[in-house]
Amino acid sequence: MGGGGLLPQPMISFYRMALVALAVTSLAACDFLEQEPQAALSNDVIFTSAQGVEAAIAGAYNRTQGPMDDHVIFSDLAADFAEHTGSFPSWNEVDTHNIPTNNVEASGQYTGWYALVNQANLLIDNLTEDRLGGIEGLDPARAREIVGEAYFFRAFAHHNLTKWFGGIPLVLSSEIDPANANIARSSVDQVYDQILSDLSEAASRVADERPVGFVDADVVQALRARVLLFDGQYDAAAAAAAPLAAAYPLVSLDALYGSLNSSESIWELQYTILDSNSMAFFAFVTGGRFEYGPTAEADAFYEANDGRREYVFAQDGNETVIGKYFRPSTGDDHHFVLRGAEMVLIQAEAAARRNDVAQAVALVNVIRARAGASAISASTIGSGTAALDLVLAERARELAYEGHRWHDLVRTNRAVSTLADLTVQNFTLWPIPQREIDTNDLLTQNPGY
Amino acid sequence: MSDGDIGGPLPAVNVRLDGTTIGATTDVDGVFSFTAPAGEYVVVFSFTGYTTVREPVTIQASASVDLNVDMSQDPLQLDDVVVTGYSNRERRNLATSISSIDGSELQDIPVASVDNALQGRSAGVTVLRSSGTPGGGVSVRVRGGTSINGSNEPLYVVDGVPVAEGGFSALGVGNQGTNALSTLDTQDIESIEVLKDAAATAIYGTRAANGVVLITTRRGRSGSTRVNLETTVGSSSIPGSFDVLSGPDYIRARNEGVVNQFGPTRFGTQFYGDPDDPALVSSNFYDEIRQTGLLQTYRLSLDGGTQDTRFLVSGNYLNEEGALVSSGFERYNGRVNVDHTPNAKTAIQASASYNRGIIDRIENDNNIYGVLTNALISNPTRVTRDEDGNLTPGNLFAFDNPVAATEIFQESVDTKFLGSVSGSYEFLPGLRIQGNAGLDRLDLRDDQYSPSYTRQGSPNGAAFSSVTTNQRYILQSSLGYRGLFDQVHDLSALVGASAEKNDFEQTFASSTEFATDLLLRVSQGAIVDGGGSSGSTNSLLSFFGNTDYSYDGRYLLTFNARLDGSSRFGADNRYAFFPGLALGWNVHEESFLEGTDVVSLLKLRGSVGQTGQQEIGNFASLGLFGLGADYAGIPAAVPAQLANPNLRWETTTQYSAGIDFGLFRSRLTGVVDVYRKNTNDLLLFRPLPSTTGFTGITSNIGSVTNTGIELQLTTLNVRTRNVTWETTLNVSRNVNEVTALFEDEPFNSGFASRIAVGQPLGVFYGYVTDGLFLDQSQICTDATGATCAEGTAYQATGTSLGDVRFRDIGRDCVAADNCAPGQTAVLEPDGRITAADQQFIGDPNPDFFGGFTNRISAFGFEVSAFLQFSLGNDVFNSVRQFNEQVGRSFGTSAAVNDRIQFNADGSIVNPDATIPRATNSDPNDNDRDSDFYVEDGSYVRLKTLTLGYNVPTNLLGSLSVRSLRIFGTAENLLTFTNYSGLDPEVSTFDRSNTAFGTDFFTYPQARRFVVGVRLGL
Repeated sequence: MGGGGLLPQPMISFYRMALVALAVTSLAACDFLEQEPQAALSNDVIFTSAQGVEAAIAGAYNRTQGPMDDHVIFSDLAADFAEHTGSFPSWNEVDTHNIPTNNVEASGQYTGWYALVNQANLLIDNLTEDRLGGIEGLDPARAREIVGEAYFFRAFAHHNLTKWFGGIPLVLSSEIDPANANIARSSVDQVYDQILSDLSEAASRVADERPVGFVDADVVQALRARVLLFDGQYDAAAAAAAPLAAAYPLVSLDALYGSLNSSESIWELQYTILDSNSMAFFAFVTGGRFEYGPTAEADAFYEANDGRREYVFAQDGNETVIGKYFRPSTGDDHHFVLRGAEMVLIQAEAAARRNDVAQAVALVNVIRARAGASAISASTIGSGTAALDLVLAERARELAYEGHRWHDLVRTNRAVSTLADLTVQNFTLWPIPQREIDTNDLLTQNPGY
Repeated sequence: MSDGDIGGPLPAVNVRLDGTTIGATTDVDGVFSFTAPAGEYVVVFSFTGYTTVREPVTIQASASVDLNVDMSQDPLQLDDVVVTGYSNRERRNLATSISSIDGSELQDIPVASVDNALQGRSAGVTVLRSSGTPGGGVSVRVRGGTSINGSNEPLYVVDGVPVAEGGFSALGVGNQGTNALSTLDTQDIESIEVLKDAAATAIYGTRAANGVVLITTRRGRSGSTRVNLETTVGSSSIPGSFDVLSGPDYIRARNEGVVNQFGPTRFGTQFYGDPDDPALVSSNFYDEIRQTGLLQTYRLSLDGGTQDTRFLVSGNYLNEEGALVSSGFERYNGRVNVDHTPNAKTAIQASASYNRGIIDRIENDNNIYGVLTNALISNPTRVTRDEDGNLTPGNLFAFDNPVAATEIFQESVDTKFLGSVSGSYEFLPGLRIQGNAGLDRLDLRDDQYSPSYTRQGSPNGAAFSSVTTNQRYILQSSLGYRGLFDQVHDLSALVGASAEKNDFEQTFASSTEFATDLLLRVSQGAIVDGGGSSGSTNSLLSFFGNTDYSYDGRYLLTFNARLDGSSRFGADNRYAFFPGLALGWNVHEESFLEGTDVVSLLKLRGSVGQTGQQEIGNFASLGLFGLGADYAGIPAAVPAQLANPNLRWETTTQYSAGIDFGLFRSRLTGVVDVYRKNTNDLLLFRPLPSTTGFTGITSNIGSVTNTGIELQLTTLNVRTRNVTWETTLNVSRNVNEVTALFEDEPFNSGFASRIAVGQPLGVFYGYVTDGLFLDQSQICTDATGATCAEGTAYQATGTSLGDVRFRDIGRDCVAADNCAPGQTAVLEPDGRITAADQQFIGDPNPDFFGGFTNRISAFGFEVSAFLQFSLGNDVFNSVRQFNEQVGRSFGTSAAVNDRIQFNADGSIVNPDATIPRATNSDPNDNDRDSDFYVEDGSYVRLKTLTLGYNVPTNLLGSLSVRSLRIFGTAENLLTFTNYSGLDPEVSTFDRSNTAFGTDFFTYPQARRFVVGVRLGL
């Protein structure tokens, strides 16, 4: 040692401390760099227990909640029932049908519904018979129900996608190869065949009855009725709808809209204050941002004494706002995804299309009677076409702001003739988002974009 | 001890026996004394800015020795010790590129955080204040931005402890964040070193790609205790005004919009009312939300001690009321630094500071509840208070009553403890072992309450509260050697290891439904509508080494290297190695330059090295299912992230060369550096088709280069006994270019910013305008574009005279065009205005930036003027995109008075107008992102102007006062710019790497005036 002699005490301890520090920093190496996330689990853990599987199917409902708001809002904003009153340029583009290929709302729908498809595929692929043995505590009967729900969600997501974009890529596997993820569009017919096939798979598996807000046999059948209607199989749609219309009879408007989970609802998508949506936030001035509002055309749809007025619209300060979702501070309004009135109107439309004017009018009057609107006399409806007009107008009134109007106009080829600001037929399909075209070499753009 | 040039005693000189820690500091009379064991020594006298003097001395037992020494100033500061990371080096022996800022430059500045203080003071360092928000964020770029998704901020190291920087607040107030560095007191800083080239930074390895800022705090000096007292008082305000439409003009524009779009009959000509109604008021909300804020600081520091033990204790209180109502910043600082040298071989240092910053925040920027937002786009015929003085309802305004918006309570209380203990022991001559432990702990509490009468709080109030802690600790040890062989081989070497861990935790809760606006806490709300907690950890284990060698003071070599293991990297790529080499040649030490008066310093330097960037998030490499969501109360799991086990750091290779020179007896000194930084393996979100269920996977793709030149010049214009005048200029140019992206596919960021190969980060992208439509023949109505005449193009269904004419440049690239990767458009008009017509329309990166300082001192008076400039940078003025929406609700700017108007027959009255026609819903989308909103954001700013007077010591003699300084400072006194918005020095996306230079209702920089007194006892 340089100084010679004994080192004073404090220095010995310091000298040791430094050596210990060096040793500690070196020895701790192995574990020190292994840090685990605290809010997420790695992929291989989820499908090893019943809890993980239950969380994954709950994840499918959760992923439905995400794109559902926009799906419902834009179905009216793009049509004649709502107009843009706020500041988002992308909403204005939807409202005015000037949708560029990079519109974030079109992207949001595309991305959101495919995320649900992926979630459904993960469940279908991981709950095959041969894999059930590896999942601790999962009852095989329950596994079968969950797979049925997954098929339902895949059908529901594909249907919502095809309504906006036309023929879409059908994704039927959860396997991802980032290096080769290209997938081509299927024709609209192929898409409907797949949706109906998935609904059959779902129907053969799901539980007969599940708690409110969850998918059971009736929910699957109700979606099947809707899909058949969109696919032009009107009588089949009516046949599927009829038993549901009986099982989910109309309730008072107050019971339907004033409270949650009325007995008319076949499937209400549930939200809570901790798991809230933005429906009322976007609609209301007070406590919201009034990003969109009802149009004068919407107002003109209802006669003065139509009882639905007070539920469809609301007065908020100086503004008339959309009133169906009215809980801006808590955000726990539900989405009315499938309910009895839609089943009645599916039957009515099928009747009109087969020129059964009397039945079409009678069914419309069922809807009108509940609303306190005047009954239509069948004698004033001269043809099946006039009856169809009547049914579609009643659908607009009854299902306003529930995600139907734009898709009804498009499927009946009435969008361009009905909407003043839509002059280009091609614009009845939204553009495939540019980022999808850029990342998927097999994808083609819709005409006109 | 005296100043050999201008005479007089020299205080604060460090006197030390070479090779020992025995020494003292001279007092105010230049006197020093200490005791030492008998022996032969060399006494080393050193003082910043003076040439070091070495005097041999023989000390005999029980005898005293007198020494009288003159020191002369050295403008080149070659003997100043520069902190280089884990060791020190005299400036003359540096081969790397390191800028030093002396703490004295930061005095007299009213409010400055460390990163603010770097602005304009160091070549190659760009500092962009994102806003004038008190305590708000600052972006610092050392030699350009290297990253897209990682961090571009340098690593900050305070007294050997790498500290957390950036914002930790959970409060969203638009975009502006908080700044963890804002709680440090700049008055505690002795020096700042900015390590710029890779040879200097390599020793910090995977965190060094953006440079390293080393901050050294002041330490006590031995001698009788010195007391410094300082107090300042001042004001803070925003100069200028916002020219708003009068009430009648606003109504005229809105009525005109209805008539232009629907004709005079459908809704009448006065849909929004009679503009000549005498009851119409003309409010200017911008004036209602501004104030002149009071600014005050109080500071006390003591230092002193014995030869063995020295201390510094300081405390500081600062209170700044913001220039916008309800904003402000309050700060308490305390510091204790202790040095103990029990014997010649041992040194122990302890440093601790406790800081508390309280930021009163207001909402701004991209936020419908924003104060400025609502002030600049609300209907000027409204009033914020009714006759009784009550706030009027928010729905009368754009989104909320701007005055009510200032009453949202938002406070972030940032408590920071920063401490370190280090010790070293020289167990063999020249061989020293060191250990160091440090802790950086940040506790941040956010509280927010939105009263029931605000839009955000309606109908019954809303509260949010969160607690965040971020704790970093570090343990490091090293073994260092320095020795001189044969009088010419000066070698130092160091090896070491360090372990660091960062723990982050956050807990929050929110509630609504309050009985009264008087009680603001979450638990007073009837409905708790949110809550949660999160945590995340990362760790770094490192081994580093440094060698500095100089031969005869002429040839210099530095080699630094670090091996970093990071928990953030993929399992297959856990350790990264970063080397850096620099060579230098002190030409002026060569015999052929001996005897010349012209060249006093000429040093050539060159370096190459690699550094990394690990700010990629803690778990980016893992495949994850996210938990925490639910459906109807059942926990839900959804895939959150695809795995990438190969994920690694971003790597920057930097080549740098420079010259240091001193000419004409060092009257002219300077530094010129050129560099090129190639950054590869950029972490990008590789986009995947959404059909996979994911939008992308984080991967190492993409490259960015920065090429630049830096110049720093100092001239000593006048130097006499009573008068000195010194001028410093630094100018830098950095050219940034994205050179590779995933499949070279460009993507957008912010509002109008884009990331594209061949372009700099942040470039603006949008439509090109060709004036306004003045002739019906220019408007094409064929939506297919097929019959549009050459030079015209279909824009939209409602396009009309007086709308903006966009240029038809491209058409969508289709398969038949054999589109290259990333190519989205073919430059060929197609008769339609579509997304393919967008172009690069501006660049927010400056061509040149820097600072220009003049310091004159004469007879005790000192004037210092510091200009800071940024030239050639564009600003995307998105405020105009809203308040020039002529005829629509947000169109409040007086600029829209110069809009296209029509005669009764539909012809245009004023074809020279610059603003399009008024409309009710803008069918042509006139306000889309276009070059119409890109402005030259160049500015030259008189950042600080200080006038000080040091009362001569002979006048103070009878008062037993050591020193007395009186000073006044003006900050942001003058700004020269053509920018039309409130302030060109803003960035609404706070510290974004890719979307900077956009102005969107961003808090402008304040002008401050301060007077102060500093008293030394």
